This record gives sequence, C-alpha cells and structure tokens, in this order.
Amino acid sequence: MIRVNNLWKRFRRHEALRGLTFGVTEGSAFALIGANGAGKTTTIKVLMNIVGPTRGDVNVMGVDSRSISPRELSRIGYVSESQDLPERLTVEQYLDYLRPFYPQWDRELEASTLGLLHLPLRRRIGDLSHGMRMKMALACALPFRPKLLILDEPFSGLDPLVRDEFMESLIQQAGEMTVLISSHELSEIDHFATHVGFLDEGRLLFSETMAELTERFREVRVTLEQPAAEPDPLPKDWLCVRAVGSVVSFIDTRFSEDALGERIRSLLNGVRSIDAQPMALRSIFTTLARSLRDGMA
Amino acid sequence: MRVTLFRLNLRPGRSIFDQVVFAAKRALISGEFLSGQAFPSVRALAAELKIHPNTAHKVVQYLIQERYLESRPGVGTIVAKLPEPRSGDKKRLLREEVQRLVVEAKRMGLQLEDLVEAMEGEWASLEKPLEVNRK
Amino acid sequence: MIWHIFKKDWSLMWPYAAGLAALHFSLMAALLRIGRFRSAPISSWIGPGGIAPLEADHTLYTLTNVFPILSYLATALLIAVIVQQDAIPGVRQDWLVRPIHRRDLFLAKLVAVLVMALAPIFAADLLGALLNGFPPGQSMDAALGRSIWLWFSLFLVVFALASLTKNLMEAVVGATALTGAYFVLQAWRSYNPTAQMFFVHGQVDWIDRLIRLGIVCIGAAVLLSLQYALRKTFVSRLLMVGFFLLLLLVPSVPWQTAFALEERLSKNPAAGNAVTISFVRDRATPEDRPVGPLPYDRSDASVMLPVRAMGVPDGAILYGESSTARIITQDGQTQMNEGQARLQMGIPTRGGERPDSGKPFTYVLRVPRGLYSRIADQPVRLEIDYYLTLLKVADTQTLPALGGDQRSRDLGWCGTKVSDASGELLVGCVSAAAPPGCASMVLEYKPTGAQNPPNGICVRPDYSPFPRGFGPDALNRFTERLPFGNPTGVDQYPVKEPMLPESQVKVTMYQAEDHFERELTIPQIRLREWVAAE
Repeated sequence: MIRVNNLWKRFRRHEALRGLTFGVTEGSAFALIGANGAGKTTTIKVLMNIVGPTRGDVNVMGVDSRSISPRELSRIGYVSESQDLPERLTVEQYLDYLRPFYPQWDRELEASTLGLLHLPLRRRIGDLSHGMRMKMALACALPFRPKLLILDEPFSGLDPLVRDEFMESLIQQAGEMTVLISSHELSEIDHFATHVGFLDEGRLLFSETMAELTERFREVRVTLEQPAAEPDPLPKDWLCVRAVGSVVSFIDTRFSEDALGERIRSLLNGVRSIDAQPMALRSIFTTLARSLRDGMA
Repeated sequence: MRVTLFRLNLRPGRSIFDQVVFAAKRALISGEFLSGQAFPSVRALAAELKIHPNTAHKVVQYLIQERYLESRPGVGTIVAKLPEPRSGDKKRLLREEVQRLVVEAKRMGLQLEDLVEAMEGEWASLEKPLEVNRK
Repeated sequence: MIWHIFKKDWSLMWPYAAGLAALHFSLMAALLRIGRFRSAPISSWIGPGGIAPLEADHTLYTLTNVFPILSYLATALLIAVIVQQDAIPGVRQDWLVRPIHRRDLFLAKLVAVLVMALAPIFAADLLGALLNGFPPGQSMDAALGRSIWLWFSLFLVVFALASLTKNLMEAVVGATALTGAYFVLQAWRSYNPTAQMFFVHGQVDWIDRLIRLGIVCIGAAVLLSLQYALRKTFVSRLLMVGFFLLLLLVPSVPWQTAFALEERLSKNPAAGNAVTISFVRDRATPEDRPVGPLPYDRSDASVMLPVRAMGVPDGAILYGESSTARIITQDGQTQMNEGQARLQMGIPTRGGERPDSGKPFTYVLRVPRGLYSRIADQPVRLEIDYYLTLLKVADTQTLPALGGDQRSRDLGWCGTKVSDASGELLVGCVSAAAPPGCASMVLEYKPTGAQNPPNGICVRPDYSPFPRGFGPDALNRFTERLPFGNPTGVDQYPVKEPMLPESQVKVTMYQAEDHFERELTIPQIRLREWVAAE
C-alpha cells in the first residue's frame, strides 16, 4: 500500500528525514512513533504530496507520491489536527461540499458515523471545540470507505471520552482499510496497531510487527545473593542497566526465553532469581527515547 | 450503555490474540455464555477491547475452528455446546500449561503444596461461577 | 465540480460581494447626480486628485474621487479572499488532501472572481450608461469594454498575485511592497538622465503601454499556471519579481518605430497624400505664434523658419507630432541630428484662421549655442523630418450657449451652462463611445459671427485604442470652460456675457485619419539671417 524508498527531506538547512525506507502492507495498522520533531508529520506530508521529497521517493497505492491525482485521493482519508478548514461553514454544509468529490461516498455510513461521534450538524466549524473538530475530521474521512486512512496525531488534546468515540469509529472500519497512524498516545493504539515504525531524528530505527516488537522487549530484574555492580562488558542490547543493592535491572531489547538465563549467569555471579516482564508500547517508547537522548543504543 | 463482554485486562507484551482467545475460552467454559447464545460480533469485540478488527476476526475464526462457536448464516456466531476435547491435543496443551505453571512456581519459590492448593482453589471457583460473582 | 466549488465560495463570500456591488451602484448613482459637468481637461485621464469641482456640491465630488479608489481596493481584496479560500502556498489547506482537480479549482476561482468581483462593475456600468440615455448597443459595448480593460490591466494581476499568497496579511504586505518599489523605480526613471530611454515622446505612447500591458498579462498567466498546475510558490515569487522588473525596466519603443507603426495603422492612409511642407523664403512673415519645440537650454539659438503647409483638406487639422532636424555643413559632415521634441502645430490663430490653410507659420529650430557660433555664417544644408497627423472632423454639435442639451453619436450627450462658481461657460459632454482623438469648442455670437478664442484644440490628441487610466465608470466625460468677456472691460473676448443668450457653442470632435512623414530640405541657408533679434 505504501512503499518508502530512501526518503530524504531537507527544509532550508534542517535535514528532517534521512534515508527512510519502510513499507506499510495492505490491511495493516501501522503506528509511526517517535519523539517530537522526529519527522513523523514530515513523512506523512511527503506521502500525501503536500511537500515533495528532496531525494528518494514514496509509492502510495501504486503511484509515486508526486503524481498523486484525485483518483488516489478519492480513496485516501486524512485526519490531522492542523488542517485549515473553512471556519464559516457549518458541519452539514461542509459535508455537503465534500460529498460530490468522492464517488464511493456512502450516505448511510456517513449518518451512522455522525451519530456515533455525536457531532452537531448545524454548528459552524469555527465554533467547534478541538475535540469536535477532530471528530469531524474523522467523520469527513470515513464515509467514502477509504482504502488508506492516515491519521497525524489525532488524539492530541482530546479528552478520554472523545478518544473512545474516535477509536470506536475508527475500529468499525479498520478491517476494510490500511491505517497509518502517527501518535504519542501509545496506550490508545497499543492493542490496535499491527505494525510499528520508530523514527528518531529523521531516521528509522526499526519497523516491525507489533508481535515481534513486544516479543523482544522485556523488563528484567535479577536478584543476586550479594550486592553487585553493573556487568562488564555491557551487552549492546541491554538498555538502562542499573545496579541497586542486590538487584540488577535492565531492559532487554533482544529477549529470548532460552538464552536470557545463560547470558545473565555468564555475566553475573550468584544469581538468585530472574524476573522478565513484557512491556507496553508506551514503556518501550520511553525506554528507547531516553536511551537515544542519553547517547546510547 | 456498554456491558463488559467478558473479563479481560489486556496485558502488555503478550500476544493479544492469545490473551483474547484465553479469556474467551474461560468465559465459555465457566458458563458465562450459555450454549445457543449469541457471541459478540467481530465489530463489537474489536470496539469493546479496542483491538484491531482483524485480530478480533482471527479470534472468532479460531474459536469457530476449535468448535467453541458456531457460525449460523443470517444469525451470526453463536456459542456451541462445549466441544468434546480431542484427547491427544488436550494432553499436549495441558503439558505445556503445566510446564509453564511449574516453572513460574519454582521461580517464585513456591512449594509443591502451595501450587496444589492454588490449583484446587481455581478449580473450585470455575465450577460455581454464580457463587463467585456474588462475592 | 467547478460549479460546486463556486457554490461553496459563493455561500461564504456573497455578503462581501453584495456590499461591493452596493458600493459600485452608489458610485454610479452619484455620477448620475453630478451629470455632465464634471471638470476634466479633454483627453487627459480622469484620475484621483486631478479633478477640481466646478460645482458647489463638494461632497458628491469627493465621493466620486475617492470611491473609485476604494472600490478598486475593495475589489482587489475580495479577489484575494476568494482565491485564498483555497490558497495555493502552504501545507495546511484541506483541499490539498481532497480529490479536487487543480484545473477545476482554478476555473472555479476564475468564475467566482468574474461573478462576484467583475460582474457588479459591469452591471453598474451598464445601468449607468442606460440611465444616461445611451442606446443599449452602445451601453453594452462601453460596459463590456471597461470590464475587459479592468480585467486585463488590473484584476488579472490581482488574481495572479493572490495565488502566490497564503493569507490576506501576506497579500497586503506584498502589494504594499510592490507598490512602494513601483514608485521608487518610477522616480528613478523620471529623474535619472540615463533612464531617458524609458520615455517615449509624443502621443504614441500607447504602443509602449500596450507592450507593458502584454508583459503584465503574460506574467500573470505564467504565474497562474505555475501555481495552479505545479504549486511552485518559491519559483513563482521569483518570477513575479522578474516580470515586475521587466515591466519597469524594459526600454521604451523608440519614437521612430512607434510612429512608423502608427503610420501603418492609419485609418485612411491616402488622406494626407496631398500635404506638403515647404520653406517660405520670404523674410517678411508674421512672427506670431511661432511653433516649435521649447528650448532645452536658454543659451540655445532659436532659428525662425517660415514654413507653409499646403494640401490640407478643408476643416481638417494638421497636427505636428515631432520633428528631427539635421544640419549638414558644406564638407558633408552632419553637425547636428536631433529630435526636436513636441512640435506643436494645428493651433488656430485669431479669427479662425489656421496655419494649415496655406498661411505660413514659423517653425523654430533650436541649435545649441556652441554649434551655432561655429556655423552661423556658413551656408549649411538643412534637412527636417516632420512627423505629422491629419485629423478630420468626426462629429459636431452646435448648442445654444445657455441651457444647451443635445445628443450625437460620438460626442454623446452634451450640454452648456454658466458656472456660478467660476464665471465661465461650461460645456460638458458624457459619451459612451470611444473618447475623442481631440475636441475643440468655440463660443460664437450668432448675429455677428464674432468668436472667442477656441478651447482645447488638439493640444494632445490621443490615438490610444484603449483607455489611459481607470475612470469611475464606463463613460467618457470631458468638460471645458469657455471664458466670456466682461461687459465693461476691454479684453480679448469678443463675446461677452450679455451676448450669451444669442450665442452658440460649436463643439467639434476630430479623429486621426492619417499619420505620415514629410521631409523639408533647404539646400543652402545661413542660420544667422533667420535668428530672431535678441
């Protein structure tokens, strides 16, 4: 569905994207995560041909992003918090305006989506609260059954109820489309995303399935007989290693059930017990972000 | 007004598919769902648990395959009668479960008696679901 | 989809369009109220600040001076806002992610601009012309002509510039910067001697203006294509600066080329064939009203040459655009070859005689002092090229001096009245046809045929096929003041106030028939013999 090939993007002197390469398979829910300024929004803007690449190319639904035409755009839904909308039109008027551009627009789906999201049809867009605006943006992106739905920070500034409503509508149709979502609200998408891509300063650190990712990350606590120091040499895939009293804790980024015990025993003496807990997406992110900031990994 | 389908707290790290299947099986075995009753649709399952519909779909397909659920055209998925466990699979499944259980117990420093006690308690609670809920 | 996008823009902007339309219609009403007597010298463009009220109704006059500028500004703003509803530059517009064809977007904006910004002007112009009593055909032509003129000379550019900007703030700042740069460059052009190549002397500057208009339109078209087809704002902005500089810094068409083109465009190329210019070697010629260029330098010598023009048809005016003089000394060297700018001919003398009726007139040749002191006593050869235009009567009206009211095809609707404010006779005409090449008026006392000096004879005829500036509506207006004499005083006005009830005003409109060149050669002449006594 989406294929990014060695994508570089430079704004004046700032290199926003450096050689990104990844793909989004059809039917998946791809979460693009990364710190602020990592390049998530820029990637999405290149994808949508809002800006052009400096080098490299992006292929969306079979065409180069620079050649995207209304034919592709009629099958792509886009939700972003920073879109300029015609403030003086009402929700109803705006939907009336959009409808004829999309051949696949389903009025019943539109009605049910609007109902689910509790949107006031007669209110002007400029008078909507932020949460309402985002819901409306989603309501304008779903009724034509897009094959690709792109969400750029859809949850920012939304209260929990609105988030639930948002996710509900999204999940309703998620089975029929490919979703690319860039978000900081990792707890919302933890169970929803099927794939994850981690961006750091314009570079892609990894792109893999959610299952693979959650499989290889573990929070490990090793209880020892006596107080110990950090193991030496420190394995590269152990992050945030700390030795406090007789407990050594670290994050294992390449967890393997069989190998962990041996590795630990080879590096530390007097191991009493080993506890390896799986991690939520949010914790994985903060671990990686912290270690990147501290210059490790 | 939303009613929880079945008790499930999605834990991080483990395969969502596995967790949901396990929770569904538990609900079906403990009698939360009666045979013949309608099982939630893929959409409802996904919305409630906030998981991807594809995952929900896989769960339902799996449960149908394992004969926990039946697919009735025009009606949807309904709870089937508890399947006759295929003896070979059962033993194999249980062996893995038992292995896991023993490893966990040993790691936590439990003794065999403690483990047996825990197992007995859990068995009893599943026999009498109504009583458990009233507590 | 074009209609659909237009509907959206209409529903957002119609209040502003309606307000603007009201502005145009009220301006039209004000002009209607003022009527024909609005002061503007013939053949000069009616621009703001150049109009002084003749009547006491100051408010109305201020209105008609200020409103046009306001309405143009407001129209430009409206166009900008319409275009910026779906701005091209920027990354946050919703239309970028919608399946909207750029071509549809462009055409929808074009339609919106034409309907909401230009149509009200057209409607007000049309209604104004009809209410002034002009036939529907002429009214329609006038209104349509002005709308087309406004579109190509003003609003197309605004449209193009609006497509380069993201919001109103950017548009206003950009426009202000451009205007400022324009005035600075214009000032440099005016005062810088090396920039003289930017100026065309004479009355054929319309060719130059046409070229610049062409640059503007091509530039606008290029910018619009770049923006709507390719969305390359940075390149477009650079190009805009380029076109702007080109517009201001492209040298003017040389006089000779412009006039040669004008010759080719003559309406009636054979009309001037009979005209000849010859030298009258008779020193006893009247020295009244010498015609010729103004001296550049007081120290230039003025050589007065009696010259006669023959073959000018009756009632026509021979107008001298310019002349070039060459002085060749006996050794064959050309000592001087200079354009003698702005030669004025065709001014009737007292009593209605015209220099082009066979009577000689004086042509003044300016020779730089240094050169003159060298060659004054030598016999030299003089070659003078005259660039001439023959103007024939196109339309006349004869109105009573008091309360005149007449209509004719080209002059339009003319009237006469006495101005209380200035003690003069006012002749005012409003016309839906093209403005006159030039017009003149004469106040005549019928019983005796005595005439006051005529006004406005072809001081500066206009051959421009399109308007010179931006008027307040589609009609052409000109008003002349004809002074009349004090009954008790002795002055140069034979027709005096008490004679007015039996006087009439003859308004004559001339149109250029033929443009041509004539060469006058004087094989041998001693300049000193013809210099005026100092």
